[in-house]
Amino acid sequence: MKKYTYIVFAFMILAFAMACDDGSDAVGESQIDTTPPILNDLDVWLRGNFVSPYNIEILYKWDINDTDIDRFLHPPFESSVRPVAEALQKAWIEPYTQVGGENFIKKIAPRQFTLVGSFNFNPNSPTITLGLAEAGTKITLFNIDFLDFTNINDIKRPLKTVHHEYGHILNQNIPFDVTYGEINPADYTAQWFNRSDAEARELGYITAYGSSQAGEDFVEMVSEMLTNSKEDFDAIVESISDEESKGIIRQKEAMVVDYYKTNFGIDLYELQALTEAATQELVN
Amino acid sequence: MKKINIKFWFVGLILVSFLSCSDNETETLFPDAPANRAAQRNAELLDLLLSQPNGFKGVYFTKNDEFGGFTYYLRFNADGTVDMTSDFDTETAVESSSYEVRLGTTTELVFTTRNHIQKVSDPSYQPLIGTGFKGTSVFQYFTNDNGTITLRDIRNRDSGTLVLTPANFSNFETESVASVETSLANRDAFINSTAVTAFPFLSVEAGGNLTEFALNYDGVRLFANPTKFNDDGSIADEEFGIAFTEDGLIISPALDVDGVLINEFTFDGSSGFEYVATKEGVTAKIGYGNAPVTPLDAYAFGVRATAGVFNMDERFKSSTAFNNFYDAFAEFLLNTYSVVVGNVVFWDLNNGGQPYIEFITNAGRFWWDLDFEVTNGIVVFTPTGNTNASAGVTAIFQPLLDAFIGAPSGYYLLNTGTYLNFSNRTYSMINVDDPTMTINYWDFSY
Repeated sequence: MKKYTYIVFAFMILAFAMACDDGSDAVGESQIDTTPPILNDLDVWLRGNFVSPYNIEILYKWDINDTDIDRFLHPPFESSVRPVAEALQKAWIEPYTQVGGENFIKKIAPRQFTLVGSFNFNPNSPTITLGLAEAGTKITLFNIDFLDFTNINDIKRPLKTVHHEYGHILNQNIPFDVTYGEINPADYTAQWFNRSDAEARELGYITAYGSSQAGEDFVEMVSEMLTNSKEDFDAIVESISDEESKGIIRQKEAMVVDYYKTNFGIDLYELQALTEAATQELVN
Repeated sequence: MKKINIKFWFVGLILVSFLSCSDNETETLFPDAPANRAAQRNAELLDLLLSQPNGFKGVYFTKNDEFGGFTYYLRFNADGTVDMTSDFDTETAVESSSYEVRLGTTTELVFTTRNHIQKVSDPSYQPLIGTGFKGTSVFQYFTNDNGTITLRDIRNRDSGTLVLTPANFSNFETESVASVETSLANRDAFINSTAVTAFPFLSVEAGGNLTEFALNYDGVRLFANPTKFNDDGSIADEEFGIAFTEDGLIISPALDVDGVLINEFTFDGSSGFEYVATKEGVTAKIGYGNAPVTPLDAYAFGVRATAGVFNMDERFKSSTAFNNFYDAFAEFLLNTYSVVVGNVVFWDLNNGGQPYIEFITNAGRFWWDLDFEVTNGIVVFTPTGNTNASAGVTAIFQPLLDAFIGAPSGYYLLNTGTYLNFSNRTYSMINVDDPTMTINYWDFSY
């Protein structure tokens, strides 16, 4: 009898459980739209030249969240994108790959470049921001619609920004010697924009922005070296009238060269020659 | 004991079973799953955009509490491209770029690459450096009212709107460009037409009462701040941006006249230079009058400074009608007599000396003595007849003398700020009999 009672119990529990199941919670097909985006010729080219080989995404289609929402910015002309991307390819990726090895850029590189057409004016300041690097993962380049690729100085502008920001990324991987910032710290200032580059050089900084703080000073040295030939860079340094400042900049140059050699096995002067040759070739 | 336990189990089980089967779910708020509803909303906007093979007319106010608006024509294509023109500037050629309909905070229309629409968000636009017209590339889909699509700026939801209405063109390429060139010409004429007087106004007539405002239109920002003096001496004002169209203008926000909202005006050249809106017994006009509707900020001519110099460095402060006259006369002098006028100066205005006007030319300096009287902000000149110019020279320069000192009813005097980057004041003299003729001066003392 007891046995039958348990069986009846079991059936009842089963029946109740099934009676409450109307099947409405059944998992169906995904409702998320997974349609691939429309890719134009430029998108296909960017995938083939940056995404596939280097895992670097070039963002140029506007997303308000890619930049500071409080700034007044606009996307680039589609026609402005490829020349800038080619400049990155020829005068940044290829030289670094040649001296650092095939995987150098693949291993240490920002994963995204965001290209912005407009200038980025800084509020309440007579300055513009040319580029930004965020946590070693992303570089944003501004005012690409205003570059003239028949003018080498215009081509150098985004490259200066990239070499500058990439210098930060390298520093985030391997910090530079803190004694660099102790060479001539007295004249670092937040009001660097009140100085001209020439004035900053007379104080022992390669550019006015380099006189803002040690970290910027270091990557400005990198940027200036990699966007000038050795002869041009030497001419800049030799034009400094203050001998002590000239010596300071040479001391910083040596530390930057040593940083590249010791930490990455890269001869910075060889890299300098390659970037210079590539930049010259980019002029239309 | 066991039997009692089994009974309790039975009762408990039945109770739990009933409770577990009870229908305590709330009513379904939405007929479809969230992802489907988002997709449907996106598809709704995309379908609307693609429904017009000859595109839309767009009126875009970037921020109607600071700026006026612009007219666009946009044709959306299924391949993700959009063709566009605008009346922002004289570069009106139709250009192609890309767009997307996305789910952001809500369904959004994003102009993903640069085209005419981004001219209002160009921070290098002079003279609005740093901000431009504070425009955007991202618009939230707000409403569809019988084919009229209202989109809002994601950053300025209350003041930034892009309203798209079907263009109803038969040829997008030609008709869109012709239309924006007309609206651009209308906008330019509102500032630079020779019919423009020195007294732009807004008038509102409702219930037999006429209220007149000085328009205070800023031609750079395309923004008006109409003001009027109340009977008690207080000042009342309105604020709106203006967008010019092919045949009129649109103001935003709309003018609220006792609950009647006025925003669309049509050009009426029959009685001067006016844009008129009539709605539900209210007539509003924006135009140019022949006399100031509010007291002018009068320059103290003959008191403040000893000399007044025709302001050749800021010709935009003089009117187009005067500038046209002056340039034509200068050309005549050059071609006919090889004479160039370098300066026109009023001298000895407040030092007790005999005032005179002098034309300084490459052929010599010619002066004419004059007396003047200022009454209620109007100066009237009376030549004394004393001059160093021969009768023949005076005859040659007579049209210029008529323009500078010859207005029978005199000239309104108006402060117009400072001269270039100097502290010297500038002021205008506006011909009372022909207020299209405004001449600007800068002052100094010696």
